[in-house]
Amino acid sequence: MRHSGSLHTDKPVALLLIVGVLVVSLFLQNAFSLKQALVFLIGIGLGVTLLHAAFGFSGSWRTLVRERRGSGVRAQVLLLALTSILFFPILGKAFPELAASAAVAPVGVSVLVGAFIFGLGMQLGGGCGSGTLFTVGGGHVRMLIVLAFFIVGATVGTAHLPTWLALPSMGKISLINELGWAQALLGQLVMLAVLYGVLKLFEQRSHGDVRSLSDQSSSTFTDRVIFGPWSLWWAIIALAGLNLATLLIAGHPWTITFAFGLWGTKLWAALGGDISSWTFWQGGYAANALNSSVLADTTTLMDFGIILGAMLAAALAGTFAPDSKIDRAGFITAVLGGLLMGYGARLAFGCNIGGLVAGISSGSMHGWLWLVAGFAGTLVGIWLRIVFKIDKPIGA
Amino acid sequence: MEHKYNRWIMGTAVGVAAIAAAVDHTRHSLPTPQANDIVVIEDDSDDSPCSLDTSPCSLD
Repeated sequence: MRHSGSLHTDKPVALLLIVGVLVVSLFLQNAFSLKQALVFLIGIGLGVTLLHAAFGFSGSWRTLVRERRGSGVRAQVLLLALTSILFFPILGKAFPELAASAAVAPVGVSVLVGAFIFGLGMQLGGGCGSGTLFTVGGGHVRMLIVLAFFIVGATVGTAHLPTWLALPSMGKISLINELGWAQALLGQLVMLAVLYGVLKLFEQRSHGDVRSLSDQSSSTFTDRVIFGPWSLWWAIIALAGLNLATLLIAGHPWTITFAFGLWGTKLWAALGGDISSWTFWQGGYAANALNSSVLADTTTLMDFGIILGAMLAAALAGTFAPDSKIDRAGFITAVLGGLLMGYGARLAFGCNIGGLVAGISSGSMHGWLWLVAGFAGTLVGIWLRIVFKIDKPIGA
Repeated sequence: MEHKYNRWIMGTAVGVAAIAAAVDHTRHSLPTPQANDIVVIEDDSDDSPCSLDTSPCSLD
Protein backbone atom coordinates (compact mmCIF):
# COMPACT_ATOMS: atom_id res chain seq x y z
CA MET A 1 0.00 0.00 0.00
CA ARG A 2 1.55 3.32 -1.03
CA HIS A 3 0.97 6.38 1.08
CA SER A 4 1.45 9.89 -0.17
CA GLY A 5 2.88 12.70 1.92
CA SER A 6 5.33 12.70 4.81
CA LEU A 7 2.96 11.17 7.39
CA HIS A 8 4.36 7.64 7.01
CA THR A 9 7.97 8.52 6.21
CA ASP A 10 10.52 6.35 7.97
CA LYS A 11 12.47 9.35 9.24
CA PRO A 12 15.46 7.62 10.94
CA VAL A 13 16.20 5.49 7.87
CA ALA A 14 15.70 8.41 5.47
CA LEU A 15 17.98 10.68 7.50
CA LEU A 16 20.67 8.01 7.81
CA LEU A 17 20.59 7.41 4.07
CA ILE A 18 20.76 11.09 3.12
CA VAL A 19 23.82 11.55 5.35
CA GLY A 20 25.34 8.28 4.05
CA VAL A 21 24.88 9.28 0.39
CA LEU A 22 26.55 12.66 1.02
CA VAL A 23 29.48 11.05 2.85
CA VAL A 24 30.03 8.39 0.17
CA SER A 25 29.81 11.00 -2.62
CA LEU A 26 32.41 13.22 -0.94
CA PHE A 27 34.66 10.21 -0.31
CA LEU A 28 34.46 9.12 -3.96
CA GLN A 29 35.24 12.60 -5.19
CA ASN A 30 38.21 12.87 -2.83
CA ALA A 31 39.62 9.35 -3.31
CA PHE A 32 38.92 8.98 -7.04
CA SER A 33 37.34 11.75 -9.08
CA LEU A 34 34.20 13.78 -9.62
CA LYS A 35 33.18 11.22 -12.26
CA GLN A 36 32.97 8.44 -9.66
CA ALA A 37 30.86 10.62 -7.38
CA LEU A 38 28.54 11.58 -10.23
CA VAL A 39 27.90 8.02 -11.44
CA PHE A 40 27.09 7.05 -7.85
CA LEU A 41 24.57 9.91 -7.67
CA ILE A 42 23.11 8.87 -11.03
CA GLY A 43 22.58 5.44 -9.46
CA ILE A 44 20.77 7.10 -6.55
CA GLY A 45 18.48 8.84 -9.06
CA LEU A 46 17.81 5.58 -10.87
CA GLY A 47 16.97 3.82 -7.60
CA VAL A 48 14.54 6.55 -6.54
CA THR A 49 12.89 6.49 -9.98
CA LEU A 50 12.58 2.71 -10.20
CA LEU A 51 11.05 2.38 -6.74
CA HIS A 52 8.73 5.39 -6.83
CA ALA A 53 7.36 4.31 -10.24
CA ALA A 54 7.62 0.55 -9.51
CA PHE A 55 9.21 0.33 -12.95
CA GLY A 56 10.05 -3.35 -13.41
CA PHE A 57 10.26 -5.74 -16.34
CA SER A 58 9.37 -9.13 -14.85
CA GLY A 59 6.06 -8.00 -13.33
CA SER A 60 4.97 -6.00 -16.37
CA TRP A 61 5.80 -8.84 -18.80
CA ARG A 62 3.84 -11.25 -16.56
CA THR A 63 0.89 -8.84 -16.39
CA LEU A 64 0.90 -8.65 -20.19
CA VAL A 65 0.70 -12.42 -20.52
CA ARG A 66 -1.61 -13.23 -17.60
CA GLU A 67 -3.93 -10.22 -17.55
CA ARG A 68 -3.45 -8.90 -21.09
CA ARG A 69 -2.66 -5.46 -19.67
CA GLY A 70 0.30 -3.79 -21.34
CA SER A 71 0.85 -0.34 -19.80
CA GLY A 72 4.15 -1.40 -18.20
CA VAL A 73 5.51 -2.93 -21.42
CA ARG A 74 4.33 0.05 -23.47
CA ALA A 75 6.26 2.28 -21.07
CA GLN A 76 9.37 0.18 -21.77
CA VAL A 77 8.85 0.60 -25.53
CA LEU A 78 8.60 4.37 -25.05
CA LEU A 79 11.74 4.29 -22.91
CA LEU A 80 13.57 2.48 -25.72
CA ALA A 81 12.35 5.04 -28.25
CA LEU A 82 13.35 8.05 -26.14
CA THR A 83 16.74 6.57 -25.23
CA SER A 84 17.41 5.75 -28.89
CA ILE A 85 16.62 9.36 -29.87
CA LEU A 86 19.14 10.55 -27.27
CA PHE A 87 21.83 7.91 -27.98
CA PHE A 88 21.92 7.50 -31.77
CA PRO A 89 23.28 10.97 -32.68
CA ILE A 90 26.00 10.68 -30.02
CA LEU A 91 27.00 7.12 -30.92
CA GLY A 92 26.79 8.03 -34.62
CA LYS A 93 29.38 10.78 -34.04
CA ALA A 94 27.00 13.63 -34.91
CA PHE A 95 28.74 15.42 -32.02
CA PRO A 96 32.39 14.37 -32.41
CA GLU A 97 33.38 16.09 -29.17
CA LEU A 98 31.18 13.65 -27.20
CA ALA A 99 33.04 10.34 -26.86
CA ALA A 100 31.02 7.33 -25.74
CA SER A 101 31.02 3.57 -26.27
CA ALA A 102 28.02 1.71 -27.68
CA ALA A 103 26.77 -1.58 -26.21
CA VAL A 104 27.25 -3.69 -29.34
CA ALA A 105 27.67 -7.45 -28.96
CA PRO A 106 27.60 -10.49 -31.26
CA VAL A 107 24.26 -11.83 -32.45
CA GLY A 108 24.62 -15.51 -31.69
CA VAL A 109 23.69 -18.63 -29.76
CA SER A 110 25.19 -17.16 -26.60
CA VAL A 111 22.68 -14.27 -26.57
CA LEU A 112 19.79 -16.52 -27.65
CA VAL A 113 20.34 -19.01 -24.82
CA GLY A 114 21.40 -16.42 -22.26
CA ALA A 115 18.41 -14.14 -22.74
CA PHE A 116 16.02 -17.13 -22.69
CA ILE A 117 17.52 -18.31 -19.39
CA PHE A 118 17.37 -14.77 -18.01
CA GLY A 119 13.71 -14.33 -19.01
CA LEU A 120 12.85 -17.60 -17.28
CA GLY A 121 14.92 -16.74 -14.21
CA MET A 122 13.40 -13.30 -13.73
CA GLN A 123 9.93 -14.83 -13.46
CA LEU A 124 11.11 -17.32 -10.84
CA GLY A 125 13.17 -14.71 -9.00
CA GLY A 126 10.41 -12.12 -9.11
CA GLY A 127 12.65 -9.33 -10.38
CA CYS A 128 14.87 -8.52 -13.35
CA GLY A 129 18.34 -6.95 -13.09
CA SER A 130 17.12 -3.48 -12.18
CA GLY A 131 14.09 -4.95 -10.38
CA THR A 132 16.26 -7.06 -8.09
CA LEU A 133 18.33 -4.04 -7.09
CA PHE A 134 15.42 -1.72 -6.39
CA THR A 135 13.41 -4.33 -4.49
CA VAL A 136 16.46 -5.13 -2.36
CA GLY A 137 16.64 -1.40 -1.70
CA GLY A 138 12.95 -1.48 -0.81
CA GLY A 139 13.82 -3.90 1.96
CA HIS A 140 12.37 -7.11 0.52
CA VAL A 141 14.40 -9.78 2.31
CA ARG A 142 13.63 -12.54 -0.23
CA MET A 143 15.25 -10.42 -2.93
CA LEU A 144 18.50 -10.48 -0.95
CA ILE A 145 18.57 -14.24 -1.61
CA VAL A 146 17.88 -13.61 -5.29
CA LEU A 147 20.73 -11.06 -5.42
CA ALA A 148 23.17 -13.40 -3.65
CA PHE A 149 22.55 -16.19 -6.17
CA PHE A 150 22.44 -13.66 -9.04
CA ILE A 151 26.06 -12.90 -8.10
CA VAL A 152 26.92 -16.62 -7.98
CA GLY A 153 25.35 -17.22 -11.40
CA ALA A 154 27.13 -14.23 -12.96
CA THR A 155 30.45 -15.40 -11.54
CA VAL A 156 30.06 -18.91 -12.94
CA GLY A 157 28.98 -17.30 -16.22
CA THR A 158 32.27 -15.41 -16.51
CA ALA A 159 34.14 -18.71 -16.19
CA HIS A 160 32.01 -20.38 -18.90
CA LEU A 161 31.58 -17.49 -21.37
CA PRO A 162 34.46 -18.40 -23.71
CA THR A 163 32.87 -21.82 -24.32
CA TRP A 164 29.56 -20.21 -25.25
CA LEU A 165 31.26 -17.65 -27.49
CA ALA A 166 32.73 -20.51 -29.53
CA LEU A 167 29.19 -21.42 -30.66
CA PRO A 168 27.78 -20.03 -33.97
CA SER A 169 27.42 -16.26 -34.20
CA MET A 170 26.68 -13.69 -36.89
CA GLY A 171 29.09 -11.26 -35.28
CA LYS A 172 28.32 -7.73 -34.16
CA ILE A 173 25.61 -5.97 -36.17
CA SER A 174 25.26 -2.25 -35.51
CA LEU A 175 22.37 -0.50 -37.26
CA ILE A 176 24.22 2.80 -36.83
CA ASN A 177 27.30 1.47 -38.63
CA GLU A 178 25.23 -0.25 -41.34
CA LEU A 179 22.75 2.55 -42.12
CA GLY A 180 24.10 5.75 -40.60
CA TRP A 181 22.62 7.11 -37.37
CA ALA A 182 19.71 9.09 -38.88
CA GLN A 183 18.36 6.27 -41.09
CA ALA A 184 18.99 3.73 -38.34
CA LEU A 185 17.08 5.87 -35.84
CA LEU A 186 14.16 6.28 -38.23
CA GLY A 187 14.02 2.53 -38.85
CA GLN A 188 14.24 1.76 -35.16
CA LEU A 189 11.48 4.24 -34.26
CA VAL A 190 9.22 2.66 -36.90
CA MET A 191 9.85 -0.81 -35.39
CA LEU A 192 9.13 0.49 -31.87
CA ALA A 193 5.99 2.30 -33.06
CA VAL A 194 4.69 -0.93 -34.60
CA LEU A 195 5.43 -2.81 -31.36
CA TYR A 196 3.66 -0.10 -29.33
CA GLY A 197 0.65 -0.24 -31.64
CA VAL A 198 0.40 -4.03 -31.43
CA LEU A 199 0.53 -3.90 -27.62
CA LYS A 200 -2.17 -1.23 -27.51
CA LEU A 201 -4.39 -3.14 -29.93
CA PHE A 202 -3.92 -6.35 -27.91
CA GLU A 203 -5.08 -4.65 -24.70
CA GLN A 204 -7.92 -2.84 -26.45
CA ARG A 205 -9.27 -6.07 -27.96
CA SER A 206 -8.91 -7.97 -24.68
CA HIS A 207 -10.57 -5.42 -22.40
CA GLY A 208 -12.26 -2.82 -24.56
CA ASP A 209 -10.04 -0.12 -23.04
CA VAL A 210 -6.37 0.77 -22.64
CA ARG A 211 -4.78 1.76 -19.34
CA SER A 212 -3.09 5.15 -19.31
CA LEU A 213 0.59 5.66 -18.51
CA SER A 214 -0.40 8.63 -16.38
CA ASP A 215 -2.33 8.25 -13.16
CA GLN A 216 -4.56 10.45 -11.08
CA SER A 217 -3.59 11.58 -7.63
CA SER A 218 -4.88 14.19 -5.21
CA SER A 219 -1.36 14.83 -3.86
CA THR A 220 0.58 17.92 -4.80
CA PHE A 221 3.35 17.70 -7.39
CA THR A 222 6.09 18.26 -4.78
CA ASP A 223 4.65 15.59 -2.50
CA ARG A 224 4.61 13.09 -5.33
CA VAL A 225 8.16 13.89 -6.42
CA ILE A 226 9.52 13.33 -2.91
CA PHE A 227 7.24 10.67 -1.47
CA GLY A 228 5.87 9.02 -4.62
CA PRO A 229 4.20 7.30 -6.31
CA TRP A 230 5.44 8.40 -9.74
CA SER A 231 3.59 7.83 -12.99
CA LEU A 232 5.13 5.71 -15.72
CA TRP A 233 5.56 8.85 -17.82
CA TRP A 234 7.73 10.42 -15.12
CA ALA A 235 9.78 7.22 -14.96
CA ILE A 236 10.31 7.11 -18.74
CA ILE A 237 11.63 10.68 -18.82
CA ALA A 238 13.79 10.26 -15.70
CA LEU A 239 15.27 6.90 -16.76
CA ALA A 240 16.07 8.14 -20.28
CA GLY A 241 17.68 11.30 -18.88
CA LEU A 242 19.74 9.38 -16.32
CA ASN A 243 20.77 6.86 -19.00
CA LEU A 244 21.99 9.76 -21.15
CA ALA A 245 23.88 11.17 -18.16
CA THR A 246 25.51 7.75 -17.70
CA LEU A 247 26.57 7.65 -21.35
CA LEU A 248 28.10 11.12 -21.17
CA ILE A 249 29.77 10.81 -17.76
CA ALA A 250 30.71 7.12 -17.51
CA GLY A 251 31.31 6.83 -21.26
CA HIS A 252 29.05 3.80 -21.72
CA PRO A 253 25.32 3.04 -21.39
CA TRP A 254 23.76 2.01 -18.07
CA THR A 255 24.82 -1.52 -17.18
CA ILE A 256 24.23 -3.62 -14.07
CA THR A 257 25.43 -7.21 -14.03
CA PHE A 258 29.09 -6.78 -14.97
CA ALA A 259 29.52 -5.71 -11.33
CA PHE A 260 27.89 -8.92 -10.04
CA GLY A 261 30.49 -11.08 -11.78
CA LEU A 262 33.21 -8.75 -10.52
CA TRP A 263 32.05 -9.00 -6.89
CA GLY A 264 31.73 -12.78 -7.08
CA THR A 265 35.12 -13.25 -8.71
CA LYS A 266 36.83 -10.96 -6.20
CA LEU A 267 35.19 -12.87 -3.35
CA TRP A 268 36.10 -16.25 -4.86
CA ALA A 269 39.73 -15.15 -5.30
CA ALA A 270 39.80 -13.75 -1.75
CA LEU A 271 38.63 -17.13 -0.45
CA GLY A 272 41.53 -18.82 -2.24
CA GLY A 273 39.71 -19.86 -5.43
CA ASP A 274 41.77 -20.23 -8.60
CA ILE A 275 40.68 -17.83 -11.35
CA SER A 276 43.82 -18.07 -13.47
CA SER A 277 42.01 -20.04 -16.19
CA TRP A 278 39.09 -17.57 -16.41
CA THR A 279 40.05 -15.77 -19.61
CA PHE A 280 37.20 -13.30 -19.18
CA TRP A 281 39.27 -11.46 -16.57
CA GLN A 282 42.59 -11.48 -18.40
CA GLY A 283 42.39 -8.32 -20.48
CA GLY A 284 40.90 -4.88 -21.07
CA TYR A 285 38.35 -3.30 -18.76
CA ALA A 286 37.61 -6.57 -16.95
CA ALA A 287 41.24 -7.10 -15.92
CA ASN A 288 41.55 -3.49 -14.82
CA ALA A 289 38.37 -3.78 -12.76
CA LEU A 290 39.52 -7.01 -11.10
CA ASN A 291 42.89 -5.53 -10.18
CA SER A 292 41.51 -2.24 -8.86
CA SER A 293 39.38 -1.19 -5.94
CA VAL A 294 35.76 -2.26 -6.36
CA LEU A 295 34.88 1.42 -5.93
CA ALA A 296 36.78 2.25 -9.13
CA ASP A 297 34.21 0.30 -11.20
CA THR A 298 31.39 2.51 -12.48
CA THR A 299 28.84 -0.34 -12.68
CA THR A 300 29.50 -1.17 -9.02
CA LEU A 301 28.98 2.43 -7.96
CA MET A 302 25.76 2.65 -9.95
CA ASP A 303 24.46 -0.63 -8.46
CA PHE A 304 25.25 0.57 -4.93
CA GLY A 305 23.55 3.85 -5.81
CA ILE A 306 20.41 2.11 -7.11
CA ILE A 307 20.05 0.06 -3.91
CA LEU A 308 20.59 3.07 -1.65
CA GLY A 309 18.39 5.31 -3.82
CA ALA A 310 15.55 2.78 -3.69
CA MET A 311 16.07 2.44 0.06
CA LEU A 312 15.75 6.21 0.42
CA ALA A 313 12.62 6.30 -1.75
CA ALA A 314 11.06 3.45 0.23
CA ALA A 315 11.87 5.19 3.52
CA LEU A 316 10.33 8.43 2.23
CA ALA A 317 7.22 6.57 1.06
CA GLY A 318 6.99 4.67 4.34
CA THR A 319 7.21 1.28 2.63
CA PHE A 320 10.74 0.20 3.63
CA ALA A 321 11.16 -3.43 4.75
CA PRO A 322 7.54 -4.59 4.48
CA ASP A 323 6.27 -7.63 6.38
CA SER A 324 7.05 -10.77 4.48
CA LYS A 325 7.59 -14.46 5.12
CA ILE A 326 9.64 -16.73 2.88
CA ASP A 327 8.10 -20.14 2.38
CA ARG A 328 9.85 -23.16 0.85
CA ALA A 329 8.71 -22.47 -2.71
CA GLY A 330 9.68 -18.83 -2.33
CA PHE A 331 13.17 -19.82 -1.19
CA ILE A 332 13.72 -22.38 -3.96
CA THR A 333 12.52 -20.04 -6.69
CA ALA A 334 14.67 -17.23 -5.28
CA VAL A 335 17.77 -19.44 -5.51
CA LEU A 336 16.92 -20.79 -8.98
CA GLY A 337 15.84 -17.40 -10.30
CA GLY A 338 19.00 -15.71 -9.09
CA LEU A 339 21.30 -18.38 -10.53
CA LEU A 340 19.54 -18.40 -13.91
CA MET A 341 19.50 -14.62 -14.20
CA GLY A 342 23.17 -14.30 -13.30
CA TYR A 343 24.32 -17.01 -15.70
CA GLY A 344 21.95 -15.87 -18.45
CA ALA A 345 22.97 -12.22 -18.17
CA ARG A 346 26.62 -13.11 -18.64
CA LEU A 347 25.90 -15.20 -21.75
CA ALA A 348 23.57 -12.55 -23.19
CA PHE A 349 26.01 -9.64 -22.67
CA GLY A 350 23.73 -8.11 -20.10
CA CYS A 351 20.43 -8.25 -18.29
CA ASN A 352 17.25 -6.40 -19.26
CA ILE A 353 19.21 -3.15 -18.86
CA GLY A 354 22.67 -3.82 -20.31
CA GLY A 355 21.50 -6.38 -22.88
CA LEU A 356 18.02 -5.20 -23.82
CA VAL A 357 17.82 -1.44 -23.14
CA ALA A 358 21.49 -0.59 -23.77
CA GLY A 359 21.71 -2.97 -26.75
CA ILE A 360 18.63 -1.64 -28.56
CA SER A 361 19.41 1.97 -27.64
CA SER A 362 22.91 1.49 -29.10
CA GLY A 363 21.47 0.18 -32.37
CA SER A 364 22.84 -3.32 -31.79
CA MET A 365 20.83 -6.22 -33.20
CA HIS A 366 21.79 -8.37 -30.22
CA GLY A 367 19.39 -6.21 -28.19
CA TRP A 368 16.47 -7.19 -30.44
CA LEU A 369 17.44 -10.86 -30.23
CA TRP A 370 17.56 -10.42 -26.43
CA LEU A 371 13.98 -9.09 -26.49
CA VAL A 372 12.59 -12.07 -28.43
CA ALA A 373 14.54 -14.75 -26.53
CA GLY A 374 13.94 -13.10 -23.16
CA PHE A 375 10.18 -12.99 -23.76
CA ALA A 376 10.17 -16.67 -24.80
CA GLY A 377 11.97 -17.50 -21.54
CA THR A 378 9.44 -15.42 -19.63
CA LEU A 379 6.58 -17.52 -21.05
CA VAL A 380 8.23 -20.67 -19.68
CA GLY A 381 8.90 -18.90 -16.38
CA ILE A 382 5.25 -17.89 -16.06
CA TRP A 383 4.26 -21.53 -16.58
CA LEU A 384 6.80 -22.64 -13.93
CA ARG A 385 5.36 -20.12 -11.44
CA ILE A 386 2.06 -21.99 -11.82
CA VAL A 387 3.84 -25.33 -11.36
CA PHE A 388 5.49 -24.04 -8.16
CA LYS A 389 2.05 -22.78 -7.04
CA ILE A 390 3.30 -19.20 -6.79
CA ASP A 391 0.53 -18.13 -9.18
CA LYS A 392 -2.85 -19.63 -9.97
CA PRO A 393 -3.41 -21.00 -13.48
CA ILE A 394 -4.24 -18.24 -15.95
CA GLY A 395 -7.97 -17.51 -15.88
CA ALA A 396 -8.57 -19.48 -12.67
CA MET B 1 7.41 -7.62 14.49
CA GLU B 2 8.27 -9.06 11.10
CA HIS B 3 8.81 -5.51 9.85
CA LYS B 4 11.36 -4.79 12.60
CA TYR B 5 13.13 -8.11 11.96
CA ASN B 6 13.39 -7.32 8.23
CA ARG B 7 14.87 -3.89 8.98
CA TRP B 8 17.61 -5.55 11.02
CA ILE B 9 18.35 -8.02 8.21
CA MET B 10 18.57 -5.22 5.66
CA GLY B 11 20.75 -3.13 7.95
CA THR B 12 23.09 -6.06 8.50
CA ALA B 13 23.29 -6.75 4.76
CA VAL B 14 24.17 -3.12 3.98
CA GLY B 15 26.75 -3.14 6.80
CA VAL B 16 28.41 -6.34 5.55
CA ALA B 17 28.50 -4.98 1.98
CA ALA B 18 30.07 -1.72 3.20
CA ILE B 19 32.75 -3.60 5.15
CA ALA B 20 33.48 -5.88 2.17
CA ALA B 21 33.84 -2.85 -0.14
CA ALA B 22 36.11 -1.12 2.38
CA VAL B 23 38.32 -4.22 2.75
CA ASP B 24 38.60 -4.59 -1.02
CA HIS B 25 39.34 -0.89 -1.39
CA THR B 26 42.21 -1.01 1.11
CA ARG B 27 43.78 -3.98 -0.72
CA HIS B 28 44.41 -1.76 -3.73
CA SER B 29 46.52 1.35 -3.87
CA LEU B 30 44.71 4.59 -4.59
CA PRO B 31 45.24 6.20 -8.00
CA THR B 32 48.13 8.65 -8.11
CA PRO B 33 46.91 12.24 -8.41
CA GLN B 34 47.87 13.72 -11.76
CA ALA B 35 49.64 17.04 -12.00
CA ASN B 36 47.70 19.63 -13.98
CA ASP B 37 50.46 20.24 -16.51
CA ILE B 38 50.77 16.61 -17.57
CA VAL B 39 48.80 15.49 -20.61
CA VAL B 40 47.64 11.91 -20.26
CA ILE B 41 46.60 10.02 -23.34
CA GLU B 42 44.10 7.39 -22.28
CA ASP B 43 43.52 4.16 -24.09
CA ASP B 44 39.78 3.86 -24.67
CA SER B 45 39.98 0.09 -24.72
CA ASP B 46 40.71 0.04 -21.00
CA ASP B 47 38.25 2.75 -20.08
CA SER B 48 34.86 1.18 -20.53
CA PRO B 49 33.15 -2.19 -20.29
CA CYS B 50 31.81 -1.49 -23.78
CA SER B 51 35.11 -1.14 -25.59
CA LEU B 52 37.03 -4.25 -24.75
CA ASP B 53 39.77 -5.59 -26.91
CA THR B 54 39.82 -9.00 -25.36
CA SER B 55 36.14 -9.49 -24.60
CA PRO B 56 33.02 -8.56 -26.53
CA CYS B 57 31.32 -5.30 -25.87
CA SER B 58 28.58 -4.74 -23.28
CA LEU B 59 29.77 -6.89 -20.46
CA ASP B 60 26.89 -5.74 -18.27
